[in-house]
Amino acid sequence: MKHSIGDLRCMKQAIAVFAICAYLLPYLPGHSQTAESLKADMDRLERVPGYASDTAYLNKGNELGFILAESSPDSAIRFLDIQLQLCREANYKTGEAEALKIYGNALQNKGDFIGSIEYYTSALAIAKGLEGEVLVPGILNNIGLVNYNLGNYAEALNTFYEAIKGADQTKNSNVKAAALNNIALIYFELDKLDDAKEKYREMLAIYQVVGNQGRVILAYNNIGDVELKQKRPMEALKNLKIAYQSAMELESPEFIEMTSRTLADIYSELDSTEKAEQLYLQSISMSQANGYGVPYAHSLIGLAGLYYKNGKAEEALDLGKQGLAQAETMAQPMLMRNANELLSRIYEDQGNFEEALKSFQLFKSYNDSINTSHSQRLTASLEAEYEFSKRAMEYERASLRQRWVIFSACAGLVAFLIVLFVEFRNKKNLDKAYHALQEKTNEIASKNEALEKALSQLKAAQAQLIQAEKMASLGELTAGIAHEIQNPLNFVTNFSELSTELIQEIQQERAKKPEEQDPQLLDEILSDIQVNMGKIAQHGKRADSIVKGMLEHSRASTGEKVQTDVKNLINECLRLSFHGMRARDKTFSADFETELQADLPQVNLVAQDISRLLLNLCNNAFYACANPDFRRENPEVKPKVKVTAKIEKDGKSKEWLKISVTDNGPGIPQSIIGKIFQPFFTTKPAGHGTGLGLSLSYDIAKAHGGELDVKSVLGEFTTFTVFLPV
Amino acid sequence: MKILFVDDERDVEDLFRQKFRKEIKSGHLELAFAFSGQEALDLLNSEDPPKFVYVFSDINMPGMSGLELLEEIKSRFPAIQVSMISAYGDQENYDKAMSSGAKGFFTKPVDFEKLKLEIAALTSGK
Repeated sequence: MKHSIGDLRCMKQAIAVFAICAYLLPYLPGHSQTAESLKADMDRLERVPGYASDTAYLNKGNELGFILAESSPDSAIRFLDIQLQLCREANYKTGEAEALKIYGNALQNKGDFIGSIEYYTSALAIAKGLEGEVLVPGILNNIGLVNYNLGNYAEALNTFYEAIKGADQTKNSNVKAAALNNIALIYFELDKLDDAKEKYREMLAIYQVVGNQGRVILAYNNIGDVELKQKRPMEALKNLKIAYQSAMELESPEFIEMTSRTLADIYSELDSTEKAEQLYLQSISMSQANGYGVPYAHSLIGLAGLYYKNGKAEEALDLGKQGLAQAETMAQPMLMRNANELLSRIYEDQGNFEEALKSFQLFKSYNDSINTSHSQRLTASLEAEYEFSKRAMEYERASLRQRWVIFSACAGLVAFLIVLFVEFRNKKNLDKAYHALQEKTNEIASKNEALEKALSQLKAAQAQLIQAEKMASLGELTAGIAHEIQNPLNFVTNFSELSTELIQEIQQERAKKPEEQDPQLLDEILSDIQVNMGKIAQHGKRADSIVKGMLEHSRASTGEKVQTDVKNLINECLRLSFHGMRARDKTFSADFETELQADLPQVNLVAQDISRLLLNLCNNAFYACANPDFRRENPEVKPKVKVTAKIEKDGKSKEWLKISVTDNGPGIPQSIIGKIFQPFFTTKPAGHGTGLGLSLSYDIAKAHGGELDVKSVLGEFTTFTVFLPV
Repeated sequence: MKILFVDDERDVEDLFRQKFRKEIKSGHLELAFAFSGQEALDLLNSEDPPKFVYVFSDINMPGMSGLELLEEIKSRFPAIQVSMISAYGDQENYDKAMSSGAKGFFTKPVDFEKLKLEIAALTSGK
């Protein structure tokens, strides 16, 4: 049999809350004190004078009132009238509020919902005036229950949520759990099964913490019931097994009956007929014994449905009739609807169409009424939910605003801390960057230093190389120099000796008798002596010039420009070079000639450097001429070096001294002509050249603001031309 | 007797003419000078057969060297005596000269006594 909304009240229980200070008196079985023992306590307290204003006495009165309200509402009302009076006289506000609430309970139990609301409202007014408002949530929960009983779900939900809010503030978990249960009940009836289950779970969690076993069983039972309605019987079974087990442990007939009834519904759904039958029978017998009217009707109808499903029409009809009667007694429209539906089918199967029709008409009418009220409630609750959600939103917004303020403050603080942190980090990073930069700077500085050192070393090396080149070329020239000095020295020696001889001759002549003397001879001799003296002086100067040139050549350049006789410079260099080559290579022979402009002026230049340049060019020219391979292949070519010098004007009328050194050697291949001015480039065998000659010559020309060019035709000639500004 | 001196140093002429002044005056010697190998050959070729009996040549000269000249003279005019006068008195030059048929090898500065003896030997020998 399928569960529907109406039969819920029999298995789910709305929970009212009764609280005295922090002490909870459960509504369900398990009272700490019975009515009798309470009365006895009160009698004992009445012996003390002024007992009427003793709060302990008044609290006992309220406890008794609560029990009476449940068991005998009319007597409870009479008792509570006095209790209220006593509380007011004693000016015991808490007691008064409690009494008013219990009064409301009694009226509710009597079915006087309007009256109960009045008392609850009065209780609420007083409770709100009390410090901590501890009684407020419980009262709200009870007001919610009244609304629920009136079918006023919207108002009920509102009130239950208010109760929860209050319970949260007063940390009253029992009230909160009760309100959650009641909200879940409404959601269940409104078919909002997921929401219902969620609320039951919340409730379960609270009762587990509190340790209220009965309520834990109720929660499991109700969750299972929801799952059954969600068509998840297996999950429902799991929860119900826990609930049933727990109920057996608690030995509470009410919970055993409740859980066996729900289990029976589940097994019926699962077609476990035997288990379902057994459990229904257990529920029926326990309900009968304990007078649980609604559960009794529920299980009768449930078992009837089970029998009908299994083809036991007779038994089903019998049980169905009993169930219907019980449901009518208990005024349960849903159960009556279900019973009539079942009966109409059974009658129809039996061919009893008259009864079948009657039952069906009843079924239809209950169904319609249920659906109408259901849809009305649904509409109302939807409106309520809208209203509630609006309120909830306001509440949320308010708390959000509050949270926002806190959050803003926190955020501000966090932001400030972040800023501080970032600042700190930045500072640290900056410091790091600064240190890194400093390190880099130091590194660069030290690298710079190293580079400068390397540069100065290079410069020193270069200077040494230049000097080495000078010395090397000087070495090459030594033989030439020797020859060039030897020759004038020989002349000096020879002419001076000769002059001495001539003087002796004069003396001999003069020793003769005057008539034998030859005056012509004397004149001749004297004239010769004079010429010889001139020759001595001339060759002395020649040697001097060569020595000076050599010294200049070996000295580091002063870079000082002086007016220089270019003709002399060229002749000296050419002869030095020639004799140098000749001295080193005995087989060497070459001709040389000069073609120097007759009126070549003196030119302002660093003679030392230019002589080095010219010596280099001449040495190269002779070296090229003497190339033994070329000589062998071209025996008809007489090796010759020609040096020309003249003044030329360029397009801008600027005057240039142009000196060309040409040899008729093998020429320079095109492939290397671009490299010949590079330092260390040489075609000479290792140890025969530094490779710096032309490179330095080029630098010298450039340093003079001039140029050094080369032209060459393979097998014919090579001409180096230096242009120097005049 | 005609002697040819070959040297690229022009002052050699003045020097030798004065040195052999007496011999020249007496007519024993006739001196001629050439300032390059080629000039010397030209001079020798100008007469056929040349009247020169002796050639003294420098070795180190631009163009044709003294040794080349020696070979030329020895091949063309084997009768003419040739001696070398060089600043480079090294073995290599000496060997080269002697193997090429030089009569003597004089080093600069010239020892005129030896030179005169050489010439005297030539004349006396004739």
